[in-house]
Amino acid sequence: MKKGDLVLIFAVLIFAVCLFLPSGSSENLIATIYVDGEVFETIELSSVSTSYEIEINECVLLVQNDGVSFISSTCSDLLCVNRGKLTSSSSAMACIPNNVVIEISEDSSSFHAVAY
Amino acid sequence: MKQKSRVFSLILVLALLFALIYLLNNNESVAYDSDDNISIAMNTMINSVIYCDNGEFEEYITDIQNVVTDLENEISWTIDGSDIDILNNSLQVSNSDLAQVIAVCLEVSELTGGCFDISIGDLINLWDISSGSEIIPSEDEIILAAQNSGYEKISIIDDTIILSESVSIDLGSIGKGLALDEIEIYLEQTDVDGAIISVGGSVLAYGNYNDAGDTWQIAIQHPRDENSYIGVLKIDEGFVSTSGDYEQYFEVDGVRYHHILDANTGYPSCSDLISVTVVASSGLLSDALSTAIFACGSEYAQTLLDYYGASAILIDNELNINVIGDLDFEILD
Repeated sequence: MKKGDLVLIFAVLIFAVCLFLPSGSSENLIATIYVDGEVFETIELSSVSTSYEIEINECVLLVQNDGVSFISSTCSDLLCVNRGKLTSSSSAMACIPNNVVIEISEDSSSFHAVAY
Repeated sequence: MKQKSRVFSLILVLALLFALIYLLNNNESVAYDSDDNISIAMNTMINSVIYCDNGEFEEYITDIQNVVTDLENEISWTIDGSDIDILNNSLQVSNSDLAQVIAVCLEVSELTGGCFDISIGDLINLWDISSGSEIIPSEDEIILAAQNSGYEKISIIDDTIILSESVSIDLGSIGKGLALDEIEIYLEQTDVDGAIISVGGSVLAYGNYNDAGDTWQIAIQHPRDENSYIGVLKIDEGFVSTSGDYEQYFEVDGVRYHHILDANTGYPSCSDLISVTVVASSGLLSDALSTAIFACGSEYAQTLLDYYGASAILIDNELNINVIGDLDFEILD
């Protein structure tokens, strides 16, 4: 076997292994807004070039390309507004009195759930 | 000769390639179909992910919501006509399931010298931290509310729960775990292959999410950074509950007033721990033990965990992590 053949063997093998390696994490965050238990909107955050507001169920949400926050709500405790911006994947926050939930997930999320 | 060597090389490469593909494919597990949903019940978020081939996902998710709502109607002290409402007002109620639950709570109260106590409804109402209140009650108000509590005033005769004096039973510290116990009973009656259910941060890992039976990965909230996780717990199945001082709290003069009260002092508990995660065989136990160990401190951990055959991850105020029991826990940087 020639040197060139060995190179060929290794090249093909490396190519084959690369095919099976997990593709690099995309960091592609998906925000899902639930209203009254139903999916209201699903947003791919990387596609949000200009931040915008969503008004729903007496709440105002601010959607940015790195997360989503409640910026106002008619609820009395304002726990949702005080929570700040939700940015990490596999997590969620809610305005419970107004039944609005924001969930951030990642296609390649490595967790099944979060204990808190 | 040269040509032969080329052919040989090619065959060798192809053989190796096929062997590699076979090996990699052979090790690859197949995930079951899944669907997920988040809803609100029991004044908290219910996050359900169901894994099942050819499953009726919508039906499962609706049923799970109904299981939680039914339980809430039975155990919420703020719902008129619930068994706990009847107990608090009539000083007794008969319910065999509830009697068993309260018996476990009383046992944990005794083991912790009353630091964990389900009879502190008046104190919880007074502080009202879960509703966002940031007012420290007066000493007199705290003493009065503390006098209207005490697990020793609760007794159980057969299936009947009896209060010797008027105290307010509040099962808020174990309600989420109880919901998970009911959900597990429901799932066992279905064709669901696996499910991961979170009721307000208490988690049930049920069955499998793929045909290889890989472990469930449950991230544990970082107690001092709300947008990150302190580690990942890997379990085959079971119940996971975390109690900490970071979910509902307010600060006055640098003192953090959180929502888990020490029944012995009437104030938010002040132990050496800021986060406790317990893995147990039931949601009732994981909830009760995480609350009890968080409130009472690490000195109670080993005894309680040994007694109930549970494991835990304890985090102190310097973020030192202590894993007790046989747990696969990976700390994240």
